[in-house]
Amino acid sequence: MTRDLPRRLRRACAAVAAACVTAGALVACGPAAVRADDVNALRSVSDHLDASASAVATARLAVRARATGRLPSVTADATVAEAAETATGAVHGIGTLTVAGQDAAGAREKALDAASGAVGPIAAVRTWLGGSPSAPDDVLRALDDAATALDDADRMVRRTTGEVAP
Amino acid sequence: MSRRLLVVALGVLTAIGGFVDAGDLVTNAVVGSRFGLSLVWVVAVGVVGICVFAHMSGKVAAVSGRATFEIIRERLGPTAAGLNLLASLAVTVLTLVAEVGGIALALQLASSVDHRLWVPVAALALWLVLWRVKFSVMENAAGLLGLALVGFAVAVFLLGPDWAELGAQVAQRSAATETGATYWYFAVALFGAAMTPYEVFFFSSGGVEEGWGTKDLATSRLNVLVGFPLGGLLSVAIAASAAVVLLPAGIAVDSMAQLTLPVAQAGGTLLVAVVIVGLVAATSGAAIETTLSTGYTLAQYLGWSWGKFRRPAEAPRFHLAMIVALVVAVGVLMTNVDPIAVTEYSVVFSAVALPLTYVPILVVANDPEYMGEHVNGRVMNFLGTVYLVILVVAAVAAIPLMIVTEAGG
Repeated sequence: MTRDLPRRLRRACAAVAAACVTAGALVACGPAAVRADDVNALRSVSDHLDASASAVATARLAVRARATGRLPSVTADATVAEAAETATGAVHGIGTLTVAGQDAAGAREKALDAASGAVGPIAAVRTWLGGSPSAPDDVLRALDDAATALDDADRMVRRTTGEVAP
Repeated sequence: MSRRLLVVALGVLTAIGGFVDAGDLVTNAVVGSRFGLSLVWVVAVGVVGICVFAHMSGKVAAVSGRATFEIIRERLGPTAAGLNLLASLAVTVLTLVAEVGGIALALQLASSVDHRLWVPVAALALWLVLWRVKFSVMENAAGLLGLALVGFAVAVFLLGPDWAELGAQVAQRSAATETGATYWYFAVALFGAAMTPYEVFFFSSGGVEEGWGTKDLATSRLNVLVGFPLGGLLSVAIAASAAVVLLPAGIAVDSMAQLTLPVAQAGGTLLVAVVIVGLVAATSGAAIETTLSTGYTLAQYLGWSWGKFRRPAEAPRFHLAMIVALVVAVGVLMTNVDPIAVTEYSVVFSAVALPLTYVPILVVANDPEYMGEHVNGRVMNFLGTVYLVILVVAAVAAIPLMIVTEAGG
């Protein structure tokens, strides 16, 4: 009995440690998009909008560099392909968030529209890169519009969370 | 004399080119695009740390003629050394996954062929190199081609930044749009990237591969004390190019392709081509080193014959371990996991495993039975102890910061 005690204690400690490690791993690997309340959910929306805006800015820089002959077309295509993946991921991230309040739902909808609207112009850049050489004005204009829509949506989200004044 | 100078210069250049790996590339670019140069101090701290411990492990190899891990097992016993093995092996394999993913991403930049198709090709090429190519040729070729990353430093100068503003960023201790926790999370990640455990195992085992003796101590010291800090400057150049072009454009780096944008803006297609060669070489060199490190640590712990200086038939389990590591890396990458995310996690988990890797090296470097008159002096022991404290703090803080910041947001 007394000899068994330390062994039991060791087993209990090992079990507790294993449970802590498992719980920690689950917490660390869990989906960041799932948040407890609307404010936190909208902060996630804002993060996804930032990612989408970053993808649009990446595509814009790639177009400018390609148009001036400073970036090889294969490298530009790989860069924009990654940006398209980021933009698509942001749409998925915003689309899978749940919000309860009406204001929060409105902000989420606007963010989803803006993020979805950014995917098309980025995909169009790949088409432009693969086509015959032409002025990039239209592609850049579409990217600028997407960036403006993302900015507006982000401002609305931040207003709803109270991060910026209405 | 001139031949000696050539050997020294080659060693230093190889150390510079071989310093940067996928972890350094990604973490420095991410940090530069989000925090400017406000975390450059971490690179400096990390470079001094890796110099201290790489010098110690190189000295152990040169004086004792044996690799660090062989001595660790003998000195600390199988249990403590086994813990060390588990931690460093797990982190090294994770780093290998990141490096193979890095090669594939770099090749995608040169071909526009999806990186997932490049993964098995890269792994096969690595295996062929490890199987057929001599150690010194492999190490020098990768290190020298890695020098092409100097293209990032050239880009920074060609961009003509406002140096005063860049200098002001160095003095900042945060970024306006980031939280304090995120700042410290990336500080730990940068530290982990600079002090990746495989580097010291590779350095000491490489010393044995090349037959270092006490006469080579000065060369080893020069390689470390000159080559690594200059390699650290390449890391800073990567962060600076991102800080100058990507930060003002609102781009937060999440792919390797974005690293080429500042270079394109600065130097055009030629400089982009040079940098892509550097990216392929740096990740390939690091992949070779991490694959070898998995073989080295396992073989040295389990008492198998090991080393590239032996024919593969004379060290079959050493070569089999490396093949298994490469198969694991390909298997992980084929699950469609994002190589950049793997790289970010690998540097943070490196930070967690750092004390387990570096404490035994400090113990062995102070053991007169192995080191004789070459045991650590006061300065090295002081630096080693200070770094142990930093390593423990970074290791303890890494996981909580990862959870709080959702892996850097």
